[in-house]
Amino acid sequence: MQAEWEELARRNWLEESDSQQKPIPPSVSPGYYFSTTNPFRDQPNAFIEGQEKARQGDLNAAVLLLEAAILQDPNDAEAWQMLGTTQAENENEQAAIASLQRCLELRPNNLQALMALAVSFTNSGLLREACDALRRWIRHNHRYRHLVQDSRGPTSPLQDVLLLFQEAALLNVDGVDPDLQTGLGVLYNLSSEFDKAVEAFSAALSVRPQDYLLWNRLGATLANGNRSQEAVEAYSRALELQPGFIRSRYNLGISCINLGAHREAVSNFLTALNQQRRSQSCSQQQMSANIWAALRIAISMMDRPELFQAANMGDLDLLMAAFQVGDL
Amino acid sequence: MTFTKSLPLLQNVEFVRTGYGKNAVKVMFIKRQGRHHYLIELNANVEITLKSRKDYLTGDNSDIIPTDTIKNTVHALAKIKGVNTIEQFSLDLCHHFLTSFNHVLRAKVYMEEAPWKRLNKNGVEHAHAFIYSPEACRFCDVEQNLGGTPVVHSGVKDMKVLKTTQSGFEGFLRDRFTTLQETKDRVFCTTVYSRWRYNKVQDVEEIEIVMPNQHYFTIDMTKMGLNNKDEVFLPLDSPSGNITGTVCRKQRARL
Repeated sequence: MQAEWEELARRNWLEESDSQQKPIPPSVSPGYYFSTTNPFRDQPNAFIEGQEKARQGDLNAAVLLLEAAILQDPNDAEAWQMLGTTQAENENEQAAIASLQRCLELRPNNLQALMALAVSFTNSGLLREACDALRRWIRHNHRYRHLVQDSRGPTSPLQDVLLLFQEAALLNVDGVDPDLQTGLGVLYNLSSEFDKAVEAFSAALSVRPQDYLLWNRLGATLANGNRSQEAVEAYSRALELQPGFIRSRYNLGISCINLGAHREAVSNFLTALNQQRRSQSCSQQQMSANIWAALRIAISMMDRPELFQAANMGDLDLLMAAFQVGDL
Repeated sequence: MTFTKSLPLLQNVEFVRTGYGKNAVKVMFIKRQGRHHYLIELNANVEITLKSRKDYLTGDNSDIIPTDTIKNTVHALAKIKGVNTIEQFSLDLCHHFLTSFNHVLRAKVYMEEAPWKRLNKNGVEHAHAFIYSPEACRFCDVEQNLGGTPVVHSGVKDMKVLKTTQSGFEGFLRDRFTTLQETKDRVFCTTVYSRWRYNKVQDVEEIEIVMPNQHYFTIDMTKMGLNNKDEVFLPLDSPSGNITGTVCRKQRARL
């Protein structure tokens, strides 16, 4: 009888019920985690090739090449910067932050890295860090640095920086500075003034209509401001310009969930994961954890328990077959 | 007007929902790791729904799992699976009833955890001594249909908190039935009830909060010649205000 009972116990009850790790806040992150196996480790011209792969939309290969370039020369600030922005496009925020911080250690006044870092901090909900980065951006920007004063009275860090950027925008009487407008757009996202953020990103797009990063930022702003249908249009523009833009496809999936189009959401997430996997026979670790999490949520809303199991197991092939997602 | 007595109503009445089980099954579980002992005491309501209705309709008990068996099962599974958290144990119970039989359609478990806290001296936790600390009651409920995924809610209730200042109430709508005076400062007391649902990836998806406004009124002592300056209050159990709200996580898009 005891044996029968024992048979019922399939799990060792001494094991911990939950191995949820608390995420390490990026400000104390231990640094960048390089891929353990990199086929491009000793590739000559790794940086140039990485740039080219990124341009082609093969983000995973770009990451590996850029990592190789950095392993060959750890002080290559430009490579660190490109790695950071590419990882962000590849929906790996923590890696992006680590890379951009390393770049700024080497080149503290790198404007593109500062802006990209501000965006990554914003996505991670780190308001103070995002404001710091934007403040540094203005301080190192020769057009606007004169606007920076030390004490502005009892206002919040966000209001301080927002005021700075607004003053800077007023200086541009006969033209739009798309980078400044990007900063404004980020700040308005932080202050949840989404309509103003939309205006800022739209202004930037008027100068750079082919900038797929801007289209995604516009889309994300629309989405966070509950304008999901318009967000979908903006993401579609971004993906037309750069089909390998993983982050935008992830965002598109999120908007699909918000619009109740769960099947389309799953399709988008699967496409993104497949693009990542297909790139360079990469392991589970090199696919974006965010996308897997969002995929599980989308599938959970479809009440297909066997597919949810497959998502838990990371069985991409089964899911792709089930949802008829082929190679792009 | 007369009401004629009708025949047993099998023709135009049917069961739309059935369920039965055992309430208030109490169990205490101890896990010993060397000299360090772990303790969890729980109180469970277990309910199952069977495929057939024959017991309700004809008194045929052949499908019925006795509620006494349900109680025994709770005890036995505590031994076999152990109890780590009330949520996990509730999941284990639901799983057991749905998979050990082929005629159970649904299982529901509601469980409360007794608020035992490990005794603590100067920051050092005692290995085997506990104190009953009813500051809040943790509870959970798990519901699972055959072939479905379990829906898990967790919660906290009976957490009574109070502040003696920095609460006010003013600017509210006044109509002909309104006599309430505005106030900039008052004693505020409530008992928190909060229940949240997990999505399938164990993230919190939705949180429901219910908080009554348990009033304390300054006692008017002027008829006794005393000037009570908001020092002596009358606690009034009822009626009490009741405030509810439910929040959901917003999935954020990434710039």
